[in-house]
Amino acid sequence: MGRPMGTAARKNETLQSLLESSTLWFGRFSHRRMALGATSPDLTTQLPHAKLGLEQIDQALPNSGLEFGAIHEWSVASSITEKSRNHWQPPSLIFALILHNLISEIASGRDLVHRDLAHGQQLVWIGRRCWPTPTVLESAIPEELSLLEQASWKDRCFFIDPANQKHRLWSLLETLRSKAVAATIVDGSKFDALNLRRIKLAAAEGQTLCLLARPPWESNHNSIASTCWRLAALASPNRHPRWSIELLRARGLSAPRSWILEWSNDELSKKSAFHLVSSTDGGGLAKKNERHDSTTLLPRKSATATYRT
Amino acid sequence: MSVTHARACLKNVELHQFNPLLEQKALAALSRWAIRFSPLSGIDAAFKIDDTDQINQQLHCGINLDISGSVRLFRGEENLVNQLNLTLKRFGLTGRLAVAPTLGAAWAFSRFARVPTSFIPQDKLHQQLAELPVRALRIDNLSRQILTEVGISNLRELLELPPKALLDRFGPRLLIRIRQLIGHEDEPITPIRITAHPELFFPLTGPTTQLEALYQITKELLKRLCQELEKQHQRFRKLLFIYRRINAPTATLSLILSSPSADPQHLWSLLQPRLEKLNLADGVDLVSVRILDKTPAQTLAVNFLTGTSDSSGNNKNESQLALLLDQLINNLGADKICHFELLSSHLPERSYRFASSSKATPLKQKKGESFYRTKLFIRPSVILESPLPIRTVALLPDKPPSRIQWRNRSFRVICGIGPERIGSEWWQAQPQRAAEELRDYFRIQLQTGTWIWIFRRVNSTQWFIHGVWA
Repeated sequence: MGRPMGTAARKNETLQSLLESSTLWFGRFSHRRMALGATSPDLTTQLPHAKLGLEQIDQALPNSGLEFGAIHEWSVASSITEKSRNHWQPPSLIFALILHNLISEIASGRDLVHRDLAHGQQLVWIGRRCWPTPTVLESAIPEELSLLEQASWKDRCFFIDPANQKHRLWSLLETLRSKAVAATIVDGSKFDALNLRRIKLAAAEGQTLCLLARPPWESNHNSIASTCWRLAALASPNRHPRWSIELLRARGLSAPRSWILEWSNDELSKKSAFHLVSSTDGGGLAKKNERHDSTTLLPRKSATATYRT
Repeated sequence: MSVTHARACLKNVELHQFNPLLEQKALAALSRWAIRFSPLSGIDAAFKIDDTDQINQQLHCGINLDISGSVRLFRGEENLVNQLNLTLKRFGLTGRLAVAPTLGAAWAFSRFARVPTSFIPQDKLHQQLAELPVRALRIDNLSRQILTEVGISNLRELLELPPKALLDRFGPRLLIRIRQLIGHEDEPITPIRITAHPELFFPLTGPTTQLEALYQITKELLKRLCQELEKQHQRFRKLLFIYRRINAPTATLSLILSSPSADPQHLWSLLQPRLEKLNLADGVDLVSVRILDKTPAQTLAVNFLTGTSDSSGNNKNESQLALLLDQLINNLGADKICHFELLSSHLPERSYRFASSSKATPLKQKKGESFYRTKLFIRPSVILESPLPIRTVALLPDKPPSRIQWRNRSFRVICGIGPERIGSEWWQAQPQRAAEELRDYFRIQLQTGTWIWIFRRVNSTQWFIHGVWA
């Protein structure tokens, strides 16, 4: 028997339907809507990103920042044992740094991608453990803004205290799906793989930045986060708190990279800022194929994020 | 009783400022409750919030009831007063009660009689009034002072004076009070107003156990209610849905909205998940909805060219936020959603709080308030809710310890910065406690590199950990 008639027509139909379905999928994001049959744009370059404000770390990330609509997992390396599990702390100062840069971007209106998305401007903290102290909140809200704007940003923060893990997950999913929220900081303890999958889908649906703080003993377990970070306190020679910040996982990252950060307090000007002291990494982005030798272990030129209290 | 006297009697006396506003609220609540004894129930008309004289304020803290018509229902004045007294005791209140022919006399006997409960019949009014002091007349301090100066201390002496002389000397006010006291002039009670909550009913011909039917009825009620409110240009904040069940207690579902709304779809999206979980028992035969709180709708300027309001983008965001907040509040509870508030205290753990969104001050009332920055000192990023006692090895009391024991582990201290003395809240009326609260704070770095915030109470050797830089 010969080939049935109309195979080419059916093939065209199938292709057309596939194209339509992909268009529908793209159509969920208004800023990425494209005409039928148009060339697919590079979606990753158009996604909004939140920056840490430290150039070397930002450059190590795909598209120079933390993706919106994705999970970013943070943990603090600690010697906490099973007996004292209630004593772990989230990396609040790093969260404050990320929020600081995000608020600056939104307030200045430079980030047109955010504008196009008509993103909400609420910041939500879920889980009492992650709730900030005045120090963290002051660090998160830029001092350069007018006093009224600062007060307004403070009022845009709200804090959820779920009674149990079920409520914590439900409130996180609702918050991530909401278009009114720009970023969510959440106590991410005791979330299993299925829960994390649901969180990831919800974050993608609402295009919300999700900063997930995980306890040290759960870090990198069942993780499907876009980026995984680990912080560890370091002894500093100059009486300033110092951490090593390690990027464990990111798209295109061949080997973990790490840097040393310092939180410097100037007693006279009463200003604090994160300084990048040095890079102690052994890898990099695969596509860049950078080669590192022993010299990279030496302190590089310090980069300073404009981040004050 | 003076504060000194109270402190002499009891060791731990807690002092609280007299708050007339709270007092008035409590009186209003008590007055509303007392309507069961008489329809005419009201707060003492002389109670004023802005009155700076605390003695006057405390004298006027009371409620008045006109029981002329309701005595028969309680089979006598004694029964009524006994019931009132018993219920007040159950509330934890000690009441002084008086039943008298006039409001002025009841006021005077409730404050100045020697017994907590007095019954004054009409024929003995003059006789019993005679023993009361001049203050029982509800006159101003100046008149009372003048009367005392001329040697008039009780009502017997005052009532013997010719009215004309009193009128000439003190003006009409004193005379009016005397006439009100003995019943020659009327004194009306200002009754408390009770706001009735509008309610819509949907009675069914028979009980139903079908959830779909209840869905339709609830939707219909919401639609009608929203249409009615639209006409009145009103929005609601609190709603109560009541489902009368057969062979089971009435079920209620309350909706609390973060921002006023009259959108049936929005309300339905909040109500439906909760209605699904409702136990219908043997059926529901009546559905009603009651508006507990409503506010006038805000008007927005509309662009005459486009026909839309200028802040349509903001409105979209606000509606999204309202939807999220309503979902969270109605599922988790209003007390689980909080806002950050700075407090006027320099003690770290009392310098801020997370207030429930339902109790937090709305943004509109905080115009001109700026974000306060605590620039004076460097504070840790994590502050423990209450300081944890730790064991330390410290050679000198004004130096940081050289070793601490925390989380069942011993840590060597590399370096420390301090001390920074944080004093007590001296304005609190507990001087002994204030002395104990003097703290010397140190920032210390452990061998692991972690920086922690510890303090020592000045009058003791006990060290506490209060925060961590994380």
